Amino acid sequence: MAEQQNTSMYHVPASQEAVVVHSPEAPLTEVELAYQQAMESALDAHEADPADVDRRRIEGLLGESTIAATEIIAPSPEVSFNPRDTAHLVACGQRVIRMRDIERGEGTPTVGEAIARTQDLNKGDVTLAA
Amino acid sequence: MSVLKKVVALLIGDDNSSSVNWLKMPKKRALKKLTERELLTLESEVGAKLFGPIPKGHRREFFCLDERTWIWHEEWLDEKRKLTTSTVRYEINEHGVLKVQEGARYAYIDGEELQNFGIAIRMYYEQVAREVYSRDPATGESLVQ
Repeated sequence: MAEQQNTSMYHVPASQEAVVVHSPEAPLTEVELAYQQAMESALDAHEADPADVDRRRIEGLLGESTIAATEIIAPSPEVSFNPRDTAHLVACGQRVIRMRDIERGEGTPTVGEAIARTQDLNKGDVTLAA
Repeated sequence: MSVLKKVVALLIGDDNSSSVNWLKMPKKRALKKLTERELLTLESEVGAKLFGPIPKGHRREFFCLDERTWIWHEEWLDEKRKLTTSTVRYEINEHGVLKVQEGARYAYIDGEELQNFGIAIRMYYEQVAREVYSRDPATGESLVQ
């Protein structure tokens, strides 16, 4: 009877028990150790900007060198709006003036004004190249 | 007020203080409104950086005077320690962008200069919206809760 239990698919050989059992006291695996080291390294590198949480998280996952390499090969921003379009340039100026007026307390824009001023600018945007 | 007088007043100002470090956007804006000149000074700090690093000893201004007029002003000391200034006014009209310089020099800009000017305007708007007015440039909504 005892021999039948030992051949059961649920039986864990004594030699493998240490691997299967996972408790907080268990030693860190190689991957976990690397993750921890990467995270600590990233934290040190970003003490000057503690608000950069996303950067730290990503560095913790991928490693600082991976992020650095990605930034080097990342595509440069490509301008998709037409900088020669004078109507677009005037729209930019209008919105600057409007923000300035609001800041000086000279009225707030109506919803219609805000939408009208946004429409021209949203024709193009600064996007990343494919 | 003529455009020229307005430019001079904005560039020179009414007081003798040349430092603008004290000029910060107040947190509680409802309690303190900045004047147009103070806002332009803040905007110009952003605008001056759009064209790359400013040479040592130079002072640069770039700002939107009104919806169709943009001002570039730069001043520096020459080899003889004499103050030299250069002011350029860009006027946007239906024909293009007219560049007006001292000495009654007028010319419509084109090519790379027009391209750079257009990009600078867009960048000015986006950066000023965020950094000076704390507004989302896409929607105009306030970023301050």
